[in-house]
Amino acid sequence: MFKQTALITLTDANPTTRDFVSAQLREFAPDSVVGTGLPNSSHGGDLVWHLHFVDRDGWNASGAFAFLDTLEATPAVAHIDAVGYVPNLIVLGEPAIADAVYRTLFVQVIPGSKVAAIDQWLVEIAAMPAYIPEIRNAALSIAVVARGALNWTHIWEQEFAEIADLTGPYMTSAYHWSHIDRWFDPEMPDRIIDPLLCHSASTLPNGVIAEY
Amino acid sequence: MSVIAIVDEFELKGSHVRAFIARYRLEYVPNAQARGMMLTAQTIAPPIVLDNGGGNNIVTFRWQVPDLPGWWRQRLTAAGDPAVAAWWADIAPLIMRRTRRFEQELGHHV
Repeated sequence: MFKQTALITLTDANPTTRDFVSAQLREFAPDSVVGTGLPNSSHGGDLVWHLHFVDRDGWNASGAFAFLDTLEATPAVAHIDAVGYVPNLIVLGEPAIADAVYRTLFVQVIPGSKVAAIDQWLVEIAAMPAYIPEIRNAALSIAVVARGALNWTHIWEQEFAEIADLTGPYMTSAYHWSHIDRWFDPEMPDRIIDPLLCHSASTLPNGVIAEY
Repeated sequence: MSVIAIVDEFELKGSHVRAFIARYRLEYVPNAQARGMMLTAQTIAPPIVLDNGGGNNIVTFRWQVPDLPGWWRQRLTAAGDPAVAAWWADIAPLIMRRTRRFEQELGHHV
């Protein structure tokens, strides 16, 4: 499987603008999923667009990545961060999750970071669902292609039953703030993640991670 | 949620100890205090500055914040202030090795 996830920031909050862009996305890919960005995000996009393909060749043939250039050139769209990747499933505790919250984190590992440190970070991130059971489904993937504010290198996706599971247990777990966060904290000697990142929470009618 | 300790530990050449401590106190401490961090202890081991050779010193600054919101306050304020990361980069030549760890009372977790 190959996936493209795009975080689309609109030029205004007018519902007409949102509906116009959503319609364009669905016209391009009728089977795609479009989520609405939630206010708990940072650089997370007003619309979150999920496109699933059988493989990378299918994605290439679709022209979906080039379509983002076309979309960003329209007056309704201010900015798009997007990644293409082979999803790497970490946990699938609730495959039939519905009316859920999708959270993704686009990050860039700082160039020159030690491979051993990156590997350790990935191991520790992947263990988060073991300490935070509110993470119902999760995937941790390496970007094949990226566009946007930075050259995103990794994608950390989770599905929650409700936003309170993200703003509550996810953020208050000591595994998160006292352990994992050191890779992100600009004050920590272990830091390997650029401080500019996309932290995106959005609505999700039906889970997407189960398809990984 | 109970008090959280933020423990900065530095391994320093004895010849750098005085300069490092002076800069930490003058430049870092006011910034951290403005982010809600309270300095609770400053220690050196061995308790003699090794500026005539014979090894390195370990200097430790212990801070605390009252709770997890306080922890996130100091964390996110620092993240939004590029001067903080710049300070750590600037002071790095004086430091051989450093760690920062977060601690809470054992009884809350075990």
